[in-house]
Amino acid sequence: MRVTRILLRRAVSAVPLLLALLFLTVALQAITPGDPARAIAGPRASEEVLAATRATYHLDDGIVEQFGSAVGRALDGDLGTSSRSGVPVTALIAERVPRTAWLAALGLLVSVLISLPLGVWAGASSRAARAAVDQGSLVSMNLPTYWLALVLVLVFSLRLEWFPVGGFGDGLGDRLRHLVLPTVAISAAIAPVLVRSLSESTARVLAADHVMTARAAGLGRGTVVRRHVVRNALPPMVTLLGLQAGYVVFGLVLVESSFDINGLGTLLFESVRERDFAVVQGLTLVLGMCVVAANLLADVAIALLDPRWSL
Amino acid sequence: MRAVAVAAAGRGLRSPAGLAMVLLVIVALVAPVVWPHPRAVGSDRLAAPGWSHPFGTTLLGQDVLGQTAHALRIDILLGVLAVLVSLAVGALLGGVAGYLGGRVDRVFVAVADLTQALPVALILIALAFSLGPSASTILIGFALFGWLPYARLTRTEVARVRNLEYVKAAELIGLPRTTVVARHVGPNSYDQVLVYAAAHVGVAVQTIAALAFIGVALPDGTLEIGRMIATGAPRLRDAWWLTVFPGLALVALGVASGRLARLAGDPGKEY
Repeated sequence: MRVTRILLRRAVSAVPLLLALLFLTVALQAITPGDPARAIAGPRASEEVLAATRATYHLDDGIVEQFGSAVGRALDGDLGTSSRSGVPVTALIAERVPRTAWLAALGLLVSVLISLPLGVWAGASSRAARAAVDQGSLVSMNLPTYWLALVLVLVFSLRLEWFPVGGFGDGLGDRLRHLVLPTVAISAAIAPVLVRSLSESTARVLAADHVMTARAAGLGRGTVVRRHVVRNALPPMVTLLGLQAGYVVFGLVLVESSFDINGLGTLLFESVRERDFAVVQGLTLVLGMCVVAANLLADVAIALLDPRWSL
Repeated sequence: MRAVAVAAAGRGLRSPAGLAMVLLVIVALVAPVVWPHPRAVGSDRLAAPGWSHPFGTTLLGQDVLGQTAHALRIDILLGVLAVLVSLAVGALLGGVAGYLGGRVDRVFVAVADLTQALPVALILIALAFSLGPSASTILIGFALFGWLPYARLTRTEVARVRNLEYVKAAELIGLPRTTVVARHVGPNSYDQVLVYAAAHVGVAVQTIAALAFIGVALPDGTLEIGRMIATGAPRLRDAWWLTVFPGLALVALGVASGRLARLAGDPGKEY
């Protein structure tokens, strides 16, 4: 019941955010130099198509009307049509979501699986160990994702030939093989942030009074870690994950294009290159919504983990 | 306060990270002098790294080391400008909110919470897509969407400082508000912000390079690290040095920037 209440409250507060995002995509129409109808409909559009575009998007009216029409269309599920292929944007996006979802899920899973044990161990260890882990995290965080992807391909695909160079693969085994390198590239960006946070929170919790009491009373290290540390060190990590969602999505875009995985990221890449306005607009909105959703989920997760926390 | 900042700066600069940072900045600064013609076509095409060309050469025989130095220059310059712009906007908004308090502050918090979840990098892509890739587009993007952390920090610091006794004293004796801010509140609020800015340069440079990799940062043909990596990528198999070395420069910059910020006394700030 409490969870439902929190979920509802966060969902409600997400609405102005989504509207702001939508407004930003509408603002793009307004600030694009040249004729916005031409930008949306594409360079080869005929006069009739241009006129129709102007009507649908209310391009001759003020920005408020344009925003209103965008809200209406969005609620109808209409995000425009690609000027490159003529396919509705929603269809293009829906088609590619599974691939990005696979990569995102694998990346998050591997990142959490690595950072939980590493972070907690570092927090419970000596200062030297913590410093070493911290330094390693700093380096990993600063490896540009697209560059790391290329280096991984160079070493593991081109030279050692352990993994395929790109693509998505068919069937579970083949797919996993194709996704190993992209997952490493993505995790190298996400995991270090989590490790640092966990390491610090763990160290802090272990030094807390109630934990020292437990240890003094004779509780073993493992039990202490399990009961106190994990419950208290997890919320900051989850918050971080939520906050990092924007960067994670961006990282996904970069990794996809490096590995030729035809997901949403590659779509964004190509659409920018081919000046496919409607797709860029639609993708910005959808990806932005994903980030907002991630933040929301993170908040709910924290509420579940920590009974004291109630928004 | 000022003495502490100077001491911290000294400590920072003498550390390995500080020295690395100084080295990178020097390389970037002297690039036009040491490598005056990075685009000069040479005879030794696609040469592997060796004595005459430590980073190898491009398809046109251009020295990759020289190009990397020039590209680093552009990136550092843009990164610093981006941070300065974000800092300026953020400090102004946060400072006003922190100093005036009350309703102004509440509006600020509402706006801050709203914009917090916005995916900045994605918006920058869309912005550059509309306005066209250029340095001014990037700076506009950072000004519009990069101010939040600075505003938050400034607001907290300003709110804290303004309640200190000597500031209240200054107000009580009738000093005009601008003087109070400029002489007392301002100089004592900026420590945290500067530390954050130092770390943020690394992040800003990475973001800009990533945008350049996608193709939405700078006009085609500008020597920039992300662009160099993107153009080198198709030749990865035969000319790996085109991609690897520029990236290493970026890694070095980011790590040095992050370490410096840590040393300056900020206990684990995330970007």
